[in-house]
Amino acid sequence: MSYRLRDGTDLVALAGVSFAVNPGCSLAIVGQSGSGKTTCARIISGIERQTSGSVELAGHPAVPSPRSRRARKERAQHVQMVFQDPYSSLDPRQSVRDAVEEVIAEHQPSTASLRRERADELLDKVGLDERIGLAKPTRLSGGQRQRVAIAKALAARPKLLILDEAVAALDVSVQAQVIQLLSELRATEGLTYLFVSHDLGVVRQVSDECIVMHRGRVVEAGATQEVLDDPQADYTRTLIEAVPRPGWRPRRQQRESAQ
Amino acid sequence: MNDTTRPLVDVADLEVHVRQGRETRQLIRNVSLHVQRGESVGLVGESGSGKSVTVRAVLRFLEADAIVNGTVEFAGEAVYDMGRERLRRWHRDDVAMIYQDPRAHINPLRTIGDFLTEALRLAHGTDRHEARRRAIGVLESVGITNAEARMAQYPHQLSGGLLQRVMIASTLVIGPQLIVADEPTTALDMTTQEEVMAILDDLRRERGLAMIFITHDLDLAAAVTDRLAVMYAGIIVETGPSLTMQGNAKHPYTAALHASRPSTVEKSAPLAIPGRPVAAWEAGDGCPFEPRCAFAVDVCRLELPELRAIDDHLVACHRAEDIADELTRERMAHL
Repeated sequence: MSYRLRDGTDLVALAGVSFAVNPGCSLAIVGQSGSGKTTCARIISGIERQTSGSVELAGHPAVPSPRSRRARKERAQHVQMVFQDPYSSLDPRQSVRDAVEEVIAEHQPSTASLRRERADELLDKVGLDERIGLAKPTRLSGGQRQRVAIAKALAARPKLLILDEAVAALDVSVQAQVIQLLSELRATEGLTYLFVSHDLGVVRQVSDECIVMHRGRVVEAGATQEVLDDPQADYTRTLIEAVPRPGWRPRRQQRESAQ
Repeated sequence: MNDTTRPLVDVADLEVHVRQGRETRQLIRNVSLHVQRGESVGLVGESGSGKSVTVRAVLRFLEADAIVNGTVEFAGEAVYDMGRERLRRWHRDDVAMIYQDPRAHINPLRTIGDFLTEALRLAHGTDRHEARRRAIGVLESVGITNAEARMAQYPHQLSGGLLQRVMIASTLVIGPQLIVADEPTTALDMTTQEEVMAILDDLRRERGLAMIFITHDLDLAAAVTDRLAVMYAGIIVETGPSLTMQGNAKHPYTAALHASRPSTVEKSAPLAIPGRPVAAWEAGDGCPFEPRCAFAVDVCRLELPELRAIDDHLVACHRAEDIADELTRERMAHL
């Protein structure tokens, strides 16, 4: 994946990245800003078009960045994405339940009463009651808004859910609730997760496997436990050592003056 | 004024109300806090806890219509009795603030050199060469190697981590006695955070500066401070030495905050606290954590607990002694 810059040169954002997510598995893409982890996620979801290479979904080649309504709809039924800040994807004038119903209407032809029933069922699944269903997004807390975003994503009945720093902006006590919800949903709904995160604590709890990215390349891949307990790449080790934990002291590295 | 026995910062019974439309809302209630010279105190809490409002009240940085009650003393001097001119000098010379987003607090049209030398030249009448020499000196002390070249650059040419180091450097030019850092590394990558924290920590120790460090990250706060104060809904629920705060938390909220953080060393589901954090004005008469607390009894709903000493901690919990064993057991189970 590369971008053409204004001066005519190409910026390579991703180089030779290959990985696979098995059905029902949760794979984390770990990296810092500029590592290419979000670009990967956006290519898979069809928001971004890769320069070269291919993506397969459920064994079929996926159209790069689908344009037609039909192709986009088809992609949406495979892949849904939940972002860090759900605020921007929720219409402030639309009630939570209407927002979920709208997605249902887009993907499954059915009657108004069936849609309503399905919307209530989805909201219940993400732990939101009827009262919140009638509320506007501005009245909700950050955790509640993220639950709405998850309900909306599930309304398209996707097989793969891409969570791009989906719990990063939440308060710690609320973050744990959403992590719990996500792990329950994976089991009950048979979902596959692609979890984009910079937070190694979150990654350890939510993923079975992970890839570590640095400057557009995969520097390490494997079972999450093994990668975090016994990192092989120097970069992975640097990342792990930078995480505050009991007994940790920050160290100066004298390496970054070139930035 | 250089009385070394009394604390550098002494806050007593601080209350803050702000007007929102027609309503008056309480953000801080009854906060008392002190910081010794050279001491580093961490203020930890979630959104709405009042940690940022507390320090803004201490520095007298709140909007003019905010109602502040209680006393704030800096080196024995009442901050809220300072006249306009005295306040200006105090802000300029004795205290410094580092924010989460350095880009929002630096003029994008001026060079790094202008930014660093401005205060010296305008306020202290330092001549151009001396100001420049001092600015390069502080840039080097925050680990910026090609300081001469950086002086000519503009903020947009620097990465977030580098710009945050420039902000730290800028606080050192004048040589304050207190640095207040409000989530200074939250917007930075992990490896950059480590670098910036290490620099801040080194400088503070070398120069004997006092620091109030605000963060939502208990682990980070524990690593770089001497003492921690945990805030919830506008009150301090627990204070204690940073070394023992996590391993020996005595307030259910502190313990829960620790247990809800996804472990970086082991796969064990983080323990969620039900509900969401509330602000002071949303809390009732009783303990603000009561609706979310697994140990709450009737008295917790009715009476706001006061801070009292248990071992080397101060704890605002009616049941702190009764539940000590249970908190220890939970901690063991979580580890």
